[in-house]
Amino acid sequence: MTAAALSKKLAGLPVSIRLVESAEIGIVGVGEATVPHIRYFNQTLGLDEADFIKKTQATIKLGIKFADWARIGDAYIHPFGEFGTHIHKVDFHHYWVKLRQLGDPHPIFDYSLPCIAAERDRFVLPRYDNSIFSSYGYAYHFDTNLYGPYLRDYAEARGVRRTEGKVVDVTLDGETGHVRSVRMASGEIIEADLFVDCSGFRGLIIEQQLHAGYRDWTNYLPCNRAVACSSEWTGEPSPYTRATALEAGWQWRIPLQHRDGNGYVYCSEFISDDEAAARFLANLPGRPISDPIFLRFTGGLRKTSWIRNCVSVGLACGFIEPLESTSIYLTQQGITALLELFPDRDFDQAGIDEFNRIMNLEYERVRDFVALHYHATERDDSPMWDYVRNMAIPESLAYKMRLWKERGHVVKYKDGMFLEPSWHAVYIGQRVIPERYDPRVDHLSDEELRRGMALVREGVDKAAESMTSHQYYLDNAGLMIPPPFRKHARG
Amino acid sequence: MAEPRVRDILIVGGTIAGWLTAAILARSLPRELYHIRLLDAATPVVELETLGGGLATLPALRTAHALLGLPEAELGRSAGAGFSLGADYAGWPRPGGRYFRPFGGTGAALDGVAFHNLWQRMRRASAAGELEDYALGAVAARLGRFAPPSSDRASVLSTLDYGYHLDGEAYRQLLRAAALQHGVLRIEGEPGEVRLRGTDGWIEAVAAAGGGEPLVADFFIDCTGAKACLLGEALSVPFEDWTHWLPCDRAVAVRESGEVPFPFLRVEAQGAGWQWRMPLREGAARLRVFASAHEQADGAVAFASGRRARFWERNCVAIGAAASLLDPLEPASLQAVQRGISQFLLLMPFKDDAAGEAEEYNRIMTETVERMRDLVILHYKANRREEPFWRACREMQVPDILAYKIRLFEAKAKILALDEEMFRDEDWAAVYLGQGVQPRAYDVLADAPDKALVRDQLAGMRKAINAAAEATPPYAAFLQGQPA
Repeated sequence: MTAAALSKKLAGLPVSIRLVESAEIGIVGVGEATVPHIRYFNQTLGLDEADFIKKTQATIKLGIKFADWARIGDAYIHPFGEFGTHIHKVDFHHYWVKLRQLGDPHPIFDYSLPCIAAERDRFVLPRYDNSIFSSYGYAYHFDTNLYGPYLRDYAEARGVRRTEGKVVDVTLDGETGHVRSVRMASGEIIEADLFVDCSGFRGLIIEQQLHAGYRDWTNYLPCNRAVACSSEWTGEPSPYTRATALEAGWQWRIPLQHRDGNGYVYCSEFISDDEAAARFLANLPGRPISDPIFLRFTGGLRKTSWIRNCVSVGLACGFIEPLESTSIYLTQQGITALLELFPDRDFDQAGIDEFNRIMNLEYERVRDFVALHYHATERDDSPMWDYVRNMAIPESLAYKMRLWKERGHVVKYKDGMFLEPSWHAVYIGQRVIPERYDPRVDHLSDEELRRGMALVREGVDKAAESMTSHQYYLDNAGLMIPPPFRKHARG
Repeated sequence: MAEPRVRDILIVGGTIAGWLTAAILARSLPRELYHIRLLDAATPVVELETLGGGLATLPALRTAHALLGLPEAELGRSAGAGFSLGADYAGWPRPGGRYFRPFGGTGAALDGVAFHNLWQRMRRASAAGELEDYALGAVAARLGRFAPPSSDRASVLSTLDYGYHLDGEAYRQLLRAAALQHGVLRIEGEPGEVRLRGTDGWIEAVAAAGGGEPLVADFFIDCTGAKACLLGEALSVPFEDWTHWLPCDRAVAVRESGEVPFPFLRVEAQGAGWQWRMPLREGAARLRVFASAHEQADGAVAFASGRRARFWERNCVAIGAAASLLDPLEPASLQAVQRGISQFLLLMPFKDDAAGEAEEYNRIMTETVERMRDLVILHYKANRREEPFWRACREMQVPDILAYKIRLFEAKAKILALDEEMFRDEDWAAVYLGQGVQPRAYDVLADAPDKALVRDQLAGMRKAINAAAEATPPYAAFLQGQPA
């Protein structure tokens, strides 16, 4: 991703880009789920959506369905979109909280077009016309085994020189401590001004040479293993990811056009690899078509993600388990920050400090959001859920949860993934319901409120019914021109 | 919980901030659930921003007027509203120097690269004019012309934006009328004794000086101006002084007549401070602000930039100068008020124990006013004048976050916008570059597009802007066309 983005954005500058990769370090290619920012990435590269969908077996993603999280039997979708609409400048969920206090049983998800469309396997492109069709965004599921080569071809076509082989040594400048070169197994020595460490979790340069250090977040995000494999096609793909909570973690299902990607993310303290694999395989939606692979990880972040002339991107920078599909997003943020702060040969420390500040903020904010899913649970059926229910959470998260519980207030921020509607969805989906609503809601009489809310539900229902199927969109991708990405579903 | 326990809100102080707060709360909260009163002294409090009679505001105030249903024609008729496209800084950063900071847009980004970077590239190749030549607001102001922004995004006129120059006292009365119309009850009197609850020190009641029943309420809003009668005097929340960063502490004002109106604020640097001239419909307001350490003048009003350590304490929140007071160099005081009101509405307390709400409010407002403060400090810090006052400003140590921002701008022309930033990146760019902060490098991506393309784009912009500016009416003619 970094090579492709740099080759595109730095085109026209006297910069040459080389990429060193080793076939020995495989990609975990069981299907990747993303967030809508991937569309911005693809659009920046100028990728044609229809071509991308075809070449990577991609499907559409309107959100994530969380099953059995707060209680066994619960299910909700965290959508890429909004609930209802603002009335009198007051966020919609306040109206829902009041209606609920009046005894109305409708879940808030009935007021979200992407939720209802996802449940019905429907999809049409969002429009930016202030209608209900402007209330959502979308992302993709795709096959990483295909997206990787797709980007590689793209980057090579734009002049990136690729060298296959293993890095066996790294030379630092004796005086400045800057990375001077890497030595390949073939004996070749490759020098550069700037080194981008995309070597994954181990951090070949950033950690092994420059000893950045790691902030371990296992106490907040206890899952540290995964077992994954692909399974056979079982029918038309759904436009959402599934995340089903299990006794010692959760299982994902990522629908692609030709098969499903699956994985079980678990905590080794509460289940053995063998037990996890057995549990996982028994849960597969279709017959496995690859051997299960096992992964180990530690949730956390490099203490310093950019040191001197080496910047780490992706897993080399930090890792947060894939519950909210943020891995590619965080990689993308690293690339964006690198481009915005692209160094001169003097490697001004001001830019480096800012990169480190912004990545810290991004990772911490995602960490809090993911930890919320675990912590806000009523499950007490197994030791892992007992642990997360009772664990100490970051003060930044405790602060947010207090304000939400007391009055439905979401702490807002400018930088970072997950805008207010995402917090609304997950709080409510995890059964954290505000005790009070914004007093301005009382402008409406109870009867006006009931009537107005019924109208919103009907609008969502009708709009969802008017949509064509997800499969229809995939079959006809290219006939319709996707609108440009927007960070806010509604501007 | 259908009924909030906080029902009685007493706003103390009929300042502009007080009446704006009263009007917006009354407009926003259901009338049958809240009882909003305002204790208003018979003689208005002296407010720094309106000393010369005039009050300069940023474009964002228009959203408050929209909420209140306060038409622009009414502002013109009753509050002598003049229109402002921005501020012209003369004598900054050195004698003979000047620059314009427009409220509207400057240039346009290309492939996600902020305009000031593209401009840097072309400027270094001697292929660009001044930064403000790419801002229609600045060019129109220079020509003494004015037009409201167009809603057609394709038109260069859509890049315009404007604030007001208001007659402060008339505007205060206009807000008072709006508040009364929305159901606020006005009680006349100076704020007197503040009665605290013995058990926990919460405010129980505020007496009007010179008699009458003490006014009991659930929640109190301190809009008494810099004195902060409730938050400061009664609740003893300390004042954090910023005069080591913003050394001006005296102001003298005069109202002038016979000025030919121009559509912007003119801010002129002087030996130990500055003065602004703010044209109204009739005449102009002149305010001179300086540091008493370097200059003395009779009849000057003393003030100090700074803020209360907390804005919300127990059952009291301060809004306006009672919360924070900023050197008025940037016409931003009402923007902080607006932000305070909207955050208060979002965090409207339900019950006595609103510690969570207070904490969040204090966090947001602290960041808000400090980020605003930092842009004002930048005006002083980055100067090239030789008077002792200005030399001292140049040598002062600025707040850490501002130092960090300046360092990043000097390194690569990167503008850092934090979470609660009220000023736009364009405001920062105009002030950095106008004050002569020279970046060593700029965004490398600005070098990516073909040079001829960027040059043509900049030339095209200038042409379109000049043509549009010539086509807008002279300001005086525009005013005549307005209902009076």
